[in-house]
Amino acid sequence: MIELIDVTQHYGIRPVLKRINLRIERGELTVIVGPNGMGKSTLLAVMAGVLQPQHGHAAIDGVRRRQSTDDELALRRSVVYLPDQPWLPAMRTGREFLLSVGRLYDVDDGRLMDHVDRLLSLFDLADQGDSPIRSYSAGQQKKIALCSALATEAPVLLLDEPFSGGLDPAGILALKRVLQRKVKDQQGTVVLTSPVPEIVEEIADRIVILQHGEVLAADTLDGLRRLTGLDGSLGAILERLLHPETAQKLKDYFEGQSS
Amino acid sequence: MIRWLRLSWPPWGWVALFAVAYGGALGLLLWLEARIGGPLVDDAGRPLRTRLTGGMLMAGTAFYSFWRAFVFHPRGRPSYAAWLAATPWTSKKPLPLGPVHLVPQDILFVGTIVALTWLSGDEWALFVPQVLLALYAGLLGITFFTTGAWPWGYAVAFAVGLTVRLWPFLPASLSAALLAYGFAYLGLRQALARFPWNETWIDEQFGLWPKKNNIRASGAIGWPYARLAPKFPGSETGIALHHALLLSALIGWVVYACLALAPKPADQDETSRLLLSFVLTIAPVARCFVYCNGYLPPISFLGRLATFRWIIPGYDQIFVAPLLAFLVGAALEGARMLLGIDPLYARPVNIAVILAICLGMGPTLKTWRLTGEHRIAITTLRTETVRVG
Repeated sequence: MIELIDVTQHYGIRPVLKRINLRIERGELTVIVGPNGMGKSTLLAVMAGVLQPQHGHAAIDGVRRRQSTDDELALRRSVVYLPDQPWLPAMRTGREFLLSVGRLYDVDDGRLMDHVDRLLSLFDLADQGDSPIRSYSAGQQKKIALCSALATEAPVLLLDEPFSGGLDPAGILALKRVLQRKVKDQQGTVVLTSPVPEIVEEIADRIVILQHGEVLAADTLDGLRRLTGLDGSLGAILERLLHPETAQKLKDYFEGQSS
Repeated sequence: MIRWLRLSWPPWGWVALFAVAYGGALGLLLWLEARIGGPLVDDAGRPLRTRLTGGMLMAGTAFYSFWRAFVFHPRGRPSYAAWLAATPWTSKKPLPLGPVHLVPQDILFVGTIVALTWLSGDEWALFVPQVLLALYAGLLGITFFTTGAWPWGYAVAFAVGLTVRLWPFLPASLSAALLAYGFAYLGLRQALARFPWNETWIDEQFGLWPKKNNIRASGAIGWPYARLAPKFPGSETGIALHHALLLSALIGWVVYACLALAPKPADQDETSRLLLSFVLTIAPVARCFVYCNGYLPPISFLGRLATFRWIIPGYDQIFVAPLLAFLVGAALEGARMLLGIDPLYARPVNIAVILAICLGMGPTLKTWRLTGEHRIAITTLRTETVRVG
């Protein structure tokens, strides 16, 4: 379970997150959506312990982040964060990288080697697995980065824009199924951000809509439908909640009127 | 005889190469002296032949010290150590490739060098034994920090410093060098008794001798794992307080020993002043760099001003030790000037105090990186990583 209590963060003068209170249960796949620059990645970074908010705190399974060295090390073993633009060891092969990451998280060697084989095969990287990462395409690099997060076997995954960055349809399908399985069968917790409503609609147990650093809504898709009174897709709901002016702008544009 | 010498001497090809170089240089100088009808001298009026051949013999001695300390030592050869760990070898048996401790063959080597140096007319011949002993013990002492015998490492280092301090007094200097060797011998016994060695303080702290095909705990694993994984440089240990204090005291002691060799008090004053200025500025800056590198303030400088959070205790705590080190160092130097204490003694103490504060004062690196109020950043991760996207 992830809890954010009264989290406020600002890098400079403008607040990026404003008194966010959020609770994400174990066995839940939560997707954070919202316009660009509204604090989605910052919210994920607070959960990941990348930054300490100015006010409030993040807690995982009741343990506050950065409270003590032992607690923080224990949290790091159970929580894996993958930013939207990770940095990978260019000269190492994908397999070496995955094995190294797994060992960092104390995954048993025998299980790890088998898991790495299966991950490489699942993401169509079996042929490239023993080549240096620098020779991979952008999509393959994204895949190997995602594989690294999965190789840790951590129960909590925090993934920033995992479906973007050149992932092919097969990769998207594989990732969706793996994440859903992790949540349903292994009682894992997955929090991710995504700008694609169709994917969110398909996989999310709960959707957190963020705007101007505040939680506009946090509910299931059905809950959001009830909230907005719309019966349509998530795209339509987001349009109503986040971009009401865009519909008017489009209308103006197609009708040739000036606003 | 040859088989007996081969136990510890370098390969014969190397010995022959050195002999040819030495003989060639000596022959050339003798021929030149015969041509001009007198000895060649340098600007100070000292015979060039003596200086050149003496220098070559000292270089040979230094090389031999290195050879004896590292070449037969499993710590200096990872493949040898790996093989040895797979055998039933224990420290009660001789090392299969040859002894690390000094043996009679080494005495023959020292005797040969002393004789050659003496024959070339160089009074430095008498210093050959302590050069070899101090260098050998000092190099061996370094290995003790990675082989579970670190107290002996410090003992050796302090004794080597004593050898340097007593350098002008030949019997005393030789005695100190023998003391250093004694510590090195005891340390070596303890280190070998603890074989095979686990990763130790130095390994974890500075990542020395990285293992092949192992990119754990290194910036080379990229972002975010290099900073956010449960293991990362500095996560397992920091510099323990006893190491910080001993290391600082050792550096102060070595500085004092070297300064004392300067013939004039004015030289001692000038050199110690330069050293103190260097340590007073570099040590606090270096500590700031280690703590700040990749661990940024949670809010920008402008944000601090605008939100009246001018001091953020959870972040600014890391500047206390460097600031204190600088202030204490400056205050001690001021007090020295007021009281008229000899800089030969006062400044090495001051240097040790500055370093002790910078190395030993909290928060430890581990505490800071795991619980500090900072923003973890990608900065200065190793260059062999590639960004995705």
